[in-house]
Amino acid sequence: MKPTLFALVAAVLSSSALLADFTTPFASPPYTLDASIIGLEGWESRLKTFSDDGTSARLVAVRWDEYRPALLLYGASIRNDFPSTTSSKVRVTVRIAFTFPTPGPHLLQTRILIQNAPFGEIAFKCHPGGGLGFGDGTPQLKKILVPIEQVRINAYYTLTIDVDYDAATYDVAVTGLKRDGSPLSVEEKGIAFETKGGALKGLDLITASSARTYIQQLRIESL
Amino acid sequence: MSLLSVATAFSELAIETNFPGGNARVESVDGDTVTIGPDNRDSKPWFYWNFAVKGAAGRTVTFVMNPMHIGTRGPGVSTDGGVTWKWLGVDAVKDGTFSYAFPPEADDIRFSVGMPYVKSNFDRFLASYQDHPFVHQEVLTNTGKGRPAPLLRLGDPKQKAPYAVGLTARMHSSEMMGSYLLEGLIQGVLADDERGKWLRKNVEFFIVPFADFDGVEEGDQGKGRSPHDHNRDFGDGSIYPEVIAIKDRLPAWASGRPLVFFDIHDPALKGDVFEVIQLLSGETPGQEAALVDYATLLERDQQGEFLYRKNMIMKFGTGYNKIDVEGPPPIASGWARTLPNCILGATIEFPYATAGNMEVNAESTRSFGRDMAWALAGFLQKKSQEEKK
Repeated sequence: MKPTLFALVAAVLSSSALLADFTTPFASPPYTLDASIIGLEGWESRLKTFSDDGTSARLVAVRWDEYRPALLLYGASIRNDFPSTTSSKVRVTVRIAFTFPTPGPHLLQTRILIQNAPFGEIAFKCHPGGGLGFGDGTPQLKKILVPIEQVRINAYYTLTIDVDYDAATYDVAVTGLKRDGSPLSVEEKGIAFETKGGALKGLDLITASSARTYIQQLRIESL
Repeated sequence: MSLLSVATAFSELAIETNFPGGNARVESVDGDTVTIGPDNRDSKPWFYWNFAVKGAAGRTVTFVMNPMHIGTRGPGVSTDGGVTWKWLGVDAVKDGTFSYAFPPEADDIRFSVGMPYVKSNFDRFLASYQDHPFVHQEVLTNTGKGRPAPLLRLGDPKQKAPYAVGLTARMHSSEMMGSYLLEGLIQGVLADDERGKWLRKNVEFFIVPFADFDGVEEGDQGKGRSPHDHNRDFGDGSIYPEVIAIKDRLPAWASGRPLVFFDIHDPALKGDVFEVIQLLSGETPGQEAALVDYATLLERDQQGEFLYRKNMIMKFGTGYNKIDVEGPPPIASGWARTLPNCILGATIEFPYATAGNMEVNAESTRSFGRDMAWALAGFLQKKSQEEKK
């Protein structure tokens, strides 16, 4: 891989070259079923004052997914300060599902905030005009990948985002199911961004208490 | 069969109710416009209706109803003779009026206030468990009209399980969505997972799927039936054979084992508290605490399509969970709570079409039933651990 100024800076910033990438091996120890992930492998509450009762971020066997393990979130506000990515090409993969009411006027949302991500937040917004896509912290999504009308309850969506810092573009692909159960595939390539942040480093997960979010996979890789 | 048959001829158009669960009162037929509503029969005014339209292929027919007799997602529609149902959608209804464009090949389209469920639906469901060693189909009793009312027992025939669970549905015959909930509960008990296995090893189930079996098959409202309905028949001097049989057989079958009893209902059609899943707690602090324990596990462990929250428990004496009598109310769950071995007895109210802003349909309702079974295992496992201490 051709070294770039960005990669060099990222490498210097990285606190651990051995842990440059982040992944969630929920099927392996120290994670155990029916237990909170807080306190494991860097996961912690975002707010020191937050009193966790062990239910807001819990590893479960997902019954509608043949009992495969996933992180179940509701009313969660957690973070993980994983080390910086180290390459000029980075892939972010999220396999995620939701249980949510019929879209209404109230704001229900799931937010995955990866520090310095050029695509913004990965967000699910359950209100008219919402859906699965990218957000910027405001109530509306800035890019809708799967409109709320097409999001199927308790069905996984796999988002793959390939960031190319040299080209200052990213590609995004989503696979999953439409509301009616038929296959869904969305792809956009070469979305331009302005380089202004550093490497990907650290993430926050925030979810509403009146919806449920399942994360089966969350991976950030330096390619 | 003493079913009401209404065949109204206009050209080839016919409105029929001569099938299990059929119910309608045709007010008028004017061209392609049918004014129709529920037939209350011996009940107070209620909202159940279920009719078939024949001879309308290729035509668009408009149905005019009282808006109070159509739920939050419009009428249920079945194109396969009542086997499966979908909501037509609330947008298809305006002021109680909806139109339906019958496909050219449609010769039997059914419409209902809900998603009707009768004995043939239950038989179809049980067919997949026909040879299951833990499934035992029996007769509870003969009904007032001579029908053999089904009783389903689930359990290991080789051993006596330490816990007993009684489940009843359709005390009010028209409350059909509760039957899909019951299907989900049964699926959860028979599931090939850790909780299902634990339940089958440690619990026996006494299940009455149709507590007012004549009413279910004949399409009665059931609710508010004269002189009183089946769920008001649990005091002294019971008059309905199914209720008499439950009161006689269930305590003997439980034989003093710790008993959980759930009686499954649907509430009124729409509005406010009727669009929320409600667990109704009993009149004593102990029963209320037991229900909170159960609901806590249900909220934590649910994975179905609904999002139940334990703060939805309707405490005794609040909302519609009250009856002006001293002591336990003479309803099914109230009667169960008088049994000395009843550790939890509750009424479940499951909405017709919308629950907490989420769509109620056959499959989503089953998913909540499966969640209830999962939580039931957790509740009894906790009891078992407490007893061992």
